[in-house]
Amino acid sequence: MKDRYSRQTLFPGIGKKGQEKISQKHVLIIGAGALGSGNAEVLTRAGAGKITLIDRDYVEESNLQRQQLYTEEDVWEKLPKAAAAKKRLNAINSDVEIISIIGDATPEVLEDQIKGIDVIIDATDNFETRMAINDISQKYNVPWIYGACVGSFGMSFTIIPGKTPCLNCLLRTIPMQGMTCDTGGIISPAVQMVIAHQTAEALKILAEDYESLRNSFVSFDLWRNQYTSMKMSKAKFSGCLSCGDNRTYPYLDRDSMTKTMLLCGRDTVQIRPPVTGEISLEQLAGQLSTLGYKVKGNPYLLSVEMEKERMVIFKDGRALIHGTKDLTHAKSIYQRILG
Amino acid sequence: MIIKVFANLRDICGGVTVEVIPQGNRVMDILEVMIKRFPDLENEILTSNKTLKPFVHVYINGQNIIHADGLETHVHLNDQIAIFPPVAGG
Repeated sequence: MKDRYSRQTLFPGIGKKGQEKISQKHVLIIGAGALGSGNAEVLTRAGAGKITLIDRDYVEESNLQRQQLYTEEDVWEKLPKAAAAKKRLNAINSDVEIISIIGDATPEVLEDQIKGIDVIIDATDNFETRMAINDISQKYNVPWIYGACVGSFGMSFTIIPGKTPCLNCLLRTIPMQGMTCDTGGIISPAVQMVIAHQTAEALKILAEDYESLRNSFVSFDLWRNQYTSMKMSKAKFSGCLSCGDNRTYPYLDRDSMTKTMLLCGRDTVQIRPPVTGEISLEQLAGQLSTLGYKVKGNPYLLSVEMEKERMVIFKDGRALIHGTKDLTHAKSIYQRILG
Repeated sequence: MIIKVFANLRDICGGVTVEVIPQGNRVMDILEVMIKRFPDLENEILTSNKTLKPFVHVYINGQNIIHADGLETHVHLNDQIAIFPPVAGG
């Protein structure tokens, strides 16, 4: 396989030296959905040394439209995404060591996996995990690459500890209700565009070409043909609890995480978001019914019929998921709807 | 002033930028003019107490107004103003 990377090493930005560096690096990808599968495929083909992939879901039919590593067979077998991805990635490039972890990317799991990691790629679908990634990145001085998309819109930002602002500087609070692919829909090209931005930045980091990193927050809308880049250097906040002078890494604290608990004697899981605030049930009901969910509501709560489960969402963001005892599965359903 | 809007706010505002002539020099003055023109925007970005919803972020020249004076933050004619709803999908 001497020629395997020849076109990549011919590219002056990488060269033979860069390729050698890439082959010794370890990438941590959080999430193996649309962004995760694309990022993993590109970096596997590019010859990264090791890739660790963490995901808590299994492959479903509605994933196939954009999640490029999966097949109909994976859907029939209800394979966990991390397992199905590993199988496919091994077939693509047997030189790359793929470590797959089936489960939630909790702060504990992140603490266990961070050692030896050169870059973290965000391929999650919720802000809680992103804030935990942000804290672990600052704590262990490992860069991470934020990426998100919905509809035809996508965005990305590269966070380098000590240099750029961090996600906590940009947001400061965990958004209660982010738009997700399950609420806003998604076209595959928007996913691919985010993947392209994330993997280009990842290759620069792996090849140690830090000078070439993009220092702006980029966003684009492929349906409206809009590309925007915003300088974020002024956003660095010295009082930031994740990257500032008196940092506490608040999102690595268990108390800041979404609380899930099995309700005794019932086939129901209760989920309580880390921050309380008011969500607009009316707006959510509108979005969900457009998507074909059967939604019933009153001023206090919203009941959503899903394929197997029923979710009841309260105004303060708390939810009950009926029809499951699986805490991880319930949390995944919750974050799919509420971000 | 030209205000950049992102993601679903573009559907509401019918474009990627909105030009406004605010009646004052605070962020809130800009939002009021925008809401007058696009009434659906109000429910999307403000709570019933006229505070910014926790999942909406306004940046002035790349700085989040939560690190300044929030909706009372002063703006200047040449400032770059952007309104982002968070995008969680991936």
